Amino acid sequence: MLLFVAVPRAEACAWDPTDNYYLFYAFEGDRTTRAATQTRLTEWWTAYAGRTVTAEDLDELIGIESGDLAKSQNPIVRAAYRKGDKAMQQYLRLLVAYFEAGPTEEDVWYYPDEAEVAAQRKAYANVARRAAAVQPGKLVPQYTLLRMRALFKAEQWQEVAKVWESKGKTQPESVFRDMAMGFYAGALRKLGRDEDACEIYARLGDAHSATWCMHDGRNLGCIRRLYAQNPNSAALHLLVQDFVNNAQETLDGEGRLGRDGYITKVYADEVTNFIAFAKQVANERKTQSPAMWLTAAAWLNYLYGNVVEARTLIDRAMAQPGTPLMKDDARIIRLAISTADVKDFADYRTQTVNELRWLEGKAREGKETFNLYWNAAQRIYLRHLVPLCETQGRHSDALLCLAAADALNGIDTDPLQVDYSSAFSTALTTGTAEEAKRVYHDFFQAPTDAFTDFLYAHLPEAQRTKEFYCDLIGTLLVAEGRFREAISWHEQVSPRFLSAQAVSYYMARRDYTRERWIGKRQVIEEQRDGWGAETLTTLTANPRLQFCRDIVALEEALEKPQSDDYKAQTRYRLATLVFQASLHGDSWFLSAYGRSCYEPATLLDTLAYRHLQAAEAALPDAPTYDDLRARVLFAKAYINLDNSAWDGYQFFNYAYDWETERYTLEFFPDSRRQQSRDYAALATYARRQGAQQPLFFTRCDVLQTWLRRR
Amino acid sequence: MRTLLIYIIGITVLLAGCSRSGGSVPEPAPAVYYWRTSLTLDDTERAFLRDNHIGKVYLRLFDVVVRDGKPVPQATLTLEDTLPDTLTTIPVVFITPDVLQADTAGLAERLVARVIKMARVMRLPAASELQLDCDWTPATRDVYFALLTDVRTRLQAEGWRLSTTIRLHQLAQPAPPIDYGVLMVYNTGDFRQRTARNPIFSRADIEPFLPKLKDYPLPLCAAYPNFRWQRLFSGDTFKGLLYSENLRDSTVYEALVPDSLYRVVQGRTLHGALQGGYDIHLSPGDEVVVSRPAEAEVVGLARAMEKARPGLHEQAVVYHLDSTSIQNLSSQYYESLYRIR
Repeated sequence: MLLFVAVPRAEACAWDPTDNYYLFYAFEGDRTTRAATQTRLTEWWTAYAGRTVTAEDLDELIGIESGDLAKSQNPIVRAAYRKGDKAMQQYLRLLVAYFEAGPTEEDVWYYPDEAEVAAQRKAYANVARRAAAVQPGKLVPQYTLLRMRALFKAEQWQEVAKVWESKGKTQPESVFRDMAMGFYAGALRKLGRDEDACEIYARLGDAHSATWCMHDGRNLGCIRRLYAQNPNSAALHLLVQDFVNNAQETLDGEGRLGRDGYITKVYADEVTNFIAFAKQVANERKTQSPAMWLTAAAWLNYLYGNVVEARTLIDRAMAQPGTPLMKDDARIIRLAISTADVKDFADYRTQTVNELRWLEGKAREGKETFNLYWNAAQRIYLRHLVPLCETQGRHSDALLCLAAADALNGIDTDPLQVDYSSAFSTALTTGTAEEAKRVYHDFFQAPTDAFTDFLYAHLPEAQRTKEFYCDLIGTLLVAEGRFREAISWHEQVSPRFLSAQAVSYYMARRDYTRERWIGKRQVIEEQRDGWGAETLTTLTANPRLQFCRDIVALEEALEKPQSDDYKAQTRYRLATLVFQASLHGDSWFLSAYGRSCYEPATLLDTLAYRHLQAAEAALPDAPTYDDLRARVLFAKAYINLDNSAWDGYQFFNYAYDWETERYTLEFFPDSRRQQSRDYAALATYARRQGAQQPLFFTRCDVLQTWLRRR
Repeated sequence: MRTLLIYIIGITVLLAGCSRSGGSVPEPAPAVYYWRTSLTLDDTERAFLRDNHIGKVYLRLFDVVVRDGKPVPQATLTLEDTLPDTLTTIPVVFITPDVLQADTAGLAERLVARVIKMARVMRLPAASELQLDCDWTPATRDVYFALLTDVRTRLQAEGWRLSTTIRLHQLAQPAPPIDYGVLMVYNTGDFRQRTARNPIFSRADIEPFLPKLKDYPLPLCAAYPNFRWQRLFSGDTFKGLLYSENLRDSTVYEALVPDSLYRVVQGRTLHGALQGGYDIHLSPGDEVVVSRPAEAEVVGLARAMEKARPGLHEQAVVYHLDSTSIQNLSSQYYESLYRIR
């Protein structure tokens, strides 16, 4: 069961989710992405203009001609004129001059000649000179940025760096300062100072540029060297984060290839040496972020299985200085580490609730694009707490951890409709009836504690009702052939509950009393041209309950002394009903939730087949019973119990012939196989009947092709 | 007399058999492609030009790609160095196939104007020819040929020629309206497939096209590879090309077969895939297959092609001028290619 819960069933075409999100974060990223910068700029200008300024308004500034500035309806320009803000008007005039100095984005085919390049550089240099001559007043950040970007375009890299050193770096935090810093980093690269540029990119939170800059330095050697130069380098935060997360992924990889399969001694030594170095750094007290180094060492120790050392280090990390992100990360890693080697599970449960509540709170207030806390919660629930609960014998709690992870996805659910595709639902519906009964007992009859209550609160409303579990247990009992037991559970499920489920559409439209092997699959009219909307349908009775009662009535009838004729008829009827409830029947919903008709034979297929065998044995040998005999033989050949074998044996297959562009039947007779034997028996019977074959024989292309072939 | 007549007829037939149906490329010379985005030559590259007596450099100026439904130039070459004055430079423009499905109205005019201006501004030595490179197919042929006709007319007004690359599969198609073609005898396989066959150069992939060579109705020369590919696979699934990634970093890669097959031993994301322009994630257990052309195979096939179409190697071109690529193969390889006649 542990495997079922830990790794929810995945379709063959899908990639198994590993939920092994990176947990180590020390680098403050995302601040200077194009989108983030644009947002910060629009926010600043919105505050200035007193009305909403959009990204399009910012772009519009690029197209305004200097002479038209006063007449422009751009909200930024209008605000400057409305306020009589002469300083801002002057700045905007110079900003527009800057935009005018070069080709616009519309001139993509334009390629300047030397004179044009010289003229552009001169124009940019002129803008820079004019910007330098202004007494900027409150607009120091804007003018610094303008000077630097104009000098950058003029390709005066040294001058760009000088302006930053003299004006930019001492300014308070602002979007304009960050943009200017970006030009400074670009100038450093032009000057061949890649490592300095990398440091600036790192300070800006531009992980992409910084990682690219030092692509040959993403290793312990580079970390050591940078630390020796500057123990508080921002690039170190990025490099350490990169190193630890890469190591995490590598050490996590046991689900793919096996730990011993690919980790080399060289890499193992690299990680071990990093751990030693991280502890050394924390002890040297040169860093302002010992929390980061100790957390890194703790997490890698944990991943190597050194739990005691990991606990010691993470406790130290929690008490050491670091940025708020580093401190939060230490707390996350401590929670993850805490799930290993739990001695007193009762005590652990009490302690952990607060941490989970904190983590989920952070996850819910986090960003949509990247959310460390959400990732961490997913990983801790799915990869740490589910196995822990299972090893502690708390299967229901393990399931609730799945529900907690599901809940973080924030999908709005109908209060009545169950999401049967969630990990929680999938784990339940693919389990056994006895497991489901234990869950029912744990949720509704056993005492609970704070840990279970906290997790239970994550369940959607529809899965906190007894009806959900009664329906589930009844359905799983049917799948296990325990029809009589299922009745008492299904009796507790109202048509109202079922009417709220998506499957009600099929329940109202499929007839389990029809013979699946005669005619075609029951097609719902509105789906004849493809998949229609599965609209909810109001049911007046519970078909799952009615099905069980029908089966039990037939079984009870057989328990009384009956004629062979009656027994044969009843067995055939039972086979019909049971097969329709199997995954290969039209009314598969009687025994399953969201499964595939391409799955191999299950118990119900076998049960149906046994009823057919019993029917055949009971059939009197007289022509009066030819029709029933034909149906029984036909049904036996229809059922394929062999497809549960390792090779998925099929007696026949439709193969596409590219020359005739038609499907043709091909056969794979094998007397060791049930379906092959039953087809042989059916064919013998059909030949004996000759022209007296029933209609469903003559309409069966498989049988008729087989008869022609032999 | 009768013997003499037979002899003369025999000679005539023989000569006809040797004649090149498409004629010779203009001013043939040992040549090389330059395909980076900034022009800088290091010592190895300068030595290559000198030692192989290179007379022509096919210099990629920019690509044409589709952005917002319109063809636009991208990755324009920047000049941080100069080519020796002794070389003839042929500007090359790579056109992505989707350009032929976009609005190409006005493209020829803009393209020619930009190339001629760039050649002038960059002072490219003796530039008087443009080469276009595009993987056109029968579906896009009409659009491409119309573009070529337009471009050629405009170039002729400037006293320039037009050539194009010719891919092997294009030999089976009508010839484009140009002055001559450079047959690309590389990238012969699908590099996304993990098979034993070398996707850069495989004789088995090329031989089916040889019968088309003899009668191809355009002057032709041939271009051969010297580059290598580092292809990343997860099982048999292709994940991407690792351009300049250092596979010798043993903390990331384990050499299973040195210089041929590596296994990833550390997960990590490569930003920009090191000049490929996209991010690739390395997962532990992924494998990197290194492919490079087999020298003997290339030279042997080049000789067979020369037999099939005498004169094809009056000009041979190597792709491409890059010190790492140059050092992938031996100096004898280049000597052999440039001396096939």
